[in-house]
Amino acid sequence: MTADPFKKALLRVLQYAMAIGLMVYSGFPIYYMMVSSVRPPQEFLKTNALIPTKISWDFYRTLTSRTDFVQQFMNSFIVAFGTVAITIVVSIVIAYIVARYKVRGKTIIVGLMLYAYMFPPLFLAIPLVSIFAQLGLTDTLVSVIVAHVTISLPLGVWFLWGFFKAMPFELEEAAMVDGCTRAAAFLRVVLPLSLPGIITVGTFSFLLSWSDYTFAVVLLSSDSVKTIPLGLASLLGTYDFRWGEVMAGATLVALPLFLLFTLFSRYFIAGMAAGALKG
Amino acid sequence: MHKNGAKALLTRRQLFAAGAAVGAATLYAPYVKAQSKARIRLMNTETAIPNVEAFKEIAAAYNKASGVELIVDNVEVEDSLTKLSASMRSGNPYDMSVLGFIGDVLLLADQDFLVPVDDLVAKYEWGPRILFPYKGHTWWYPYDYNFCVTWYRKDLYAKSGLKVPTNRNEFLANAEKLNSDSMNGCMYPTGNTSATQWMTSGFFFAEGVNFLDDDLKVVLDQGDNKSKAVETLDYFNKLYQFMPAGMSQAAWAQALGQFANQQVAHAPYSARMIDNLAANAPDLADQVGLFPYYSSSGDTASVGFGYDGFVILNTPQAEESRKFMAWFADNMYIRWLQAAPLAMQPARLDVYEDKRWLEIPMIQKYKGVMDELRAMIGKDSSVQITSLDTQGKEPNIQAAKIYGSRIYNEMLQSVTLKQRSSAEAVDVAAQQMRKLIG
Amino acid sequence: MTLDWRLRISLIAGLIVVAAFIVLPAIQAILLSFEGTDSFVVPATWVGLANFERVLVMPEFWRDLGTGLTYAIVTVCLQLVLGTIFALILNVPLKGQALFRGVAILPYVVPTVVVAISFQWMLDGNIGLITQIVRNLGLGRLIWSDDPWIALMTVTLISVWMWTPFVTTCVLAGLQTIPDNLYAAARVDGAGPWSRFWHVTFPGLRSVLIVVIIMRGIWMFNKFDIIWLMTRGGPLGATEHLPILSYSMAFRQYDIGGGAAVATLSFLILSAFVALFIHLFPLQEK
Repeated sequence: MTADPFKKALLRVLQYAMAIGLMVYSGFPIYYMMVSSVRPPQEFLKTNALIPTKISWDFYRTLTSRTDFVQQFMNSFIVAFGTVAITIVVSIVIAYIVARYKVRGKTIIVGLMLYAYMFPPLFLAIPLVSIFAQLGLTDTLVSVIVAHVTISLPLGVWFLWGFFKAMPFELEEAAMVDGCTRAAAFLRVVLPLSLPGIITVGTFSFLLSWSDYTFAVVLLSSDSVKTIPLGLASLLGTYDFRWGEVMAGATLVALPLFLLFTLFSRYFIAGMAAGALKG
Repeated sequence: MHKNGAKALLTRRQLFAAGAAVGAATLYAPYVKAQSKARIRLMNTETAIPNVEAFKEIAAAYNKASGVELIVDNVEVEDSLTKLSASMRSGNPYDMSVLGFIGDVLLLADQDFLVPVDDLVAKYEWGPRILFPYKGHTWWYPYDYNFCVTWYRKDLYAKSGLKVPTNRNEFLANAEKLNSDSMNGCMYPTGNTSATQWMTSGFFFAEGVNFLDDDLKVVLDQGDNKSKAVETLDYFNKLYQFMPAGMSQAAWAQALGQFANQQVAHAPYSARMIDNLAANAPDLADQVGLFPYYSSSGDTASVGFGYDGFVILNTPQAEESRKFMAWFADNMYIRWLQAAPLAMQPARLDVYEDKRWLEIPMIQKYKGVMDELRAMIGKDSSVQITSLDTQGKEPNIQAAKIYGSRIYNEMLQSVTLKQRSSAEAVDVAAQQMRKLIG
Repeated sequence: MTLDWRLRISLIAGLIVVAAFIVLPAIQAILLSFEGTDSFVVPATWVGLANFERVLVMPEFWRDLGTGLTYAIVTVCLQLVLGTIFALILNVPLKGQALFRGVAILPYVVPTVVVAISFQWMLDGNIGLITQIVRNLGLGRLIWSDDPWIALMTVTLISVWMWTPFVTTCVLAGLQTIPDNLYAAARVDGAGPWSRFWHVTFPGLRSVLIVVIIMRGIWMFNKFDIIWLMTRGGPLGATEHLPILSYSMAFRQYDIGGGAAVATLSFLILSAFVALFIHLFPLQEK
């Protein structure tokens, strides 16, 4: 079809151009943020230079030596990973049941989950405090994990429901005819095939949890359990002027995640192209 | 199948019963839960790094002095009431809190969540209009005034041969003179944050505009209030043409940034302006002066008012909290103010004579600035200390509601952005305020 | 197929979690809207429908509903279109694909407060980078926050920038499940790229897209933080939608009952839209 080598080369160039365009679009504001974070404090607002001439680590120094940034970073990671683990397991089970079994009123059950998104989070968060207090979980990372699961679970269930639904039932049946139990058929056939979906759910549970401010501010109080968004907000303050430190903090937040997602992308989504559905 | 159905039904009913019980039990958790150890939990809403560090020091010192553990949680000021409510609902309420909105204090006092601090306050002499007595008691222990004034550049004034203004028209002329291609005459935020209230309402109060009367009726559009308000809006609109673009987006950070950046010749702020300049543009810090908001005649002046203080909550630890407060007042009040020595202008008058305070390097260095600010709370000062939320004969929630709404902000915006007539803007605002406070 | 007991138990467990942590707080929020209260802590007086009567005659409520719908619909549509295009770009095997994908998700990773500051700064009326570029291009002075319409457009575009990676990643995952032999068959039938997209890719993405639209629709309708941080509903209420109105009433003007009434009405309206959408585009074929 595109046998013409010139046409083929042109297509390649075009594809790269689009990919690079997308990279600039997505990455530029973040690049700008990173460049600002290494500006010397005195020049912070004076220049818009996109290539730093003088690099200063002052903001980073303030951030790491005078705030609990490192601790907050760890807390955010614990909460986000906890959220991801619970969300993935529970949403796979519920979504699979909903997609494959006849259960009365299942649409309503799954529909109810969407309530978590339909209210302003603060109105949900404040009553949640009472519930966690009854459970003895006040001011703990666990309470935030549970709260985050309430927002990531509906996402997981709905998304995987769609995913399982799109998957031909015949594949499982074929495996079961071959002597697999239903559980084995699920583990060997459905799970690997839905890996891109599961990874996607994991990614977004991670990010929901990672960026949440509302639940964290209501549920967490002690400095020792605070997460990054809380740390950045109190660092920013309302009346002070700490944009430089905030940019530095954001850079430190974005970099490891960027590396993580770059690696993830290589392992999972790309690897799926050779999946069993090819057959 | 039939059996299964019955079981499912039972499960559902049990579930419902369990859910209802949990629901009833948890929705209104008891407010007070006993705390056994001598531990005071304090919510700090001054989250700037030096303030957080100050409290670490204070907590350590108090533990050493009394054996009582002081736990300080730092919460962004705009979340303070939310966080306090949440702490109460968790059955583990804060014993003390730093608060910066008088509305929050009144609300908590009304609901019996505060204990009065009359005796603690009585030990010292205080500046004017800072104690906010309410229902016959003092409910908080104030620490600063946070006056918002206009900052100018002495070097620019000298270069252009300008005099420090003594009425608002002179200020307008100065702003016009210093307005050039490379620099704007002044900046005053008009956006929807409370920076707008704090930084611009001084123009109205200096001119003698009342938004509420003593009976808490909206009088903005009545009598000579209206003509004064209209004139002030017209004046503000004139000033607006010398401001940089984007005032409807500006707030605290822009005021500090644009002045430090030499983008504007005048900018409003508290003396935190100097703290910020010293850190980010040290050359400028020595070149700045201040003046209040003046009336058209110059006979009266006003400053933006941004008080802060401590409250003691009505918890089982209230007695411990009072002991801490007394100790803090005698030993650590100044250490606390030192976190931002210029921004946190003392509310207590003895501090101005206290050696510990006078020896703070920033206070020594900028003595002149502090003297001017001190004079504003002096006995013979003609400077009015008012803000939108402290209108009325005594503290009230109505004024706080007006302050918390965006009616005032939109009054400025409708004149500066929409070129609506000032008279119309005042009428609309007055009507909206009436509707709001009922 | 019927459930065995293990699955039944997991479903019931899931249900309890949903009831305790989602439905219960939601019920309390609805209850608040029938109460006249300025506190989340003290038991309040029941005022019946008074809060609703008060809210429904507020012109702001209807204006904000319109703004919110506009904002939600425009942001969701743009995110869908851009997200699908981006996913298709990122699905082409290129050198450095992992890097391209990593960068493409970045906007979603950065805390909202930082996005707000960065854009405020890049859009500053004088020294802002974007402002300067626009001026140098001879397009005049861009003062985004002064013009109600441009302000709404700006927060819309920033929201799109921030949340498109969600759609991109979902669609990218969905693309992996479309069997290659369908494309091969289409090629044999002589279908061009467009025709392949419409007849193979698009139907293959159907269920993913339905879920994405529901999720994003609800989220964007309730999106609060980016607008609050950028404009707080200004100028002159141009970017104020129901979540901002509800928050301002409950947490700035000490009117929790009124704020809860706005939240409840907003919830009812949103539920109606979601129900309609699910009815029109069922995930579960009948």
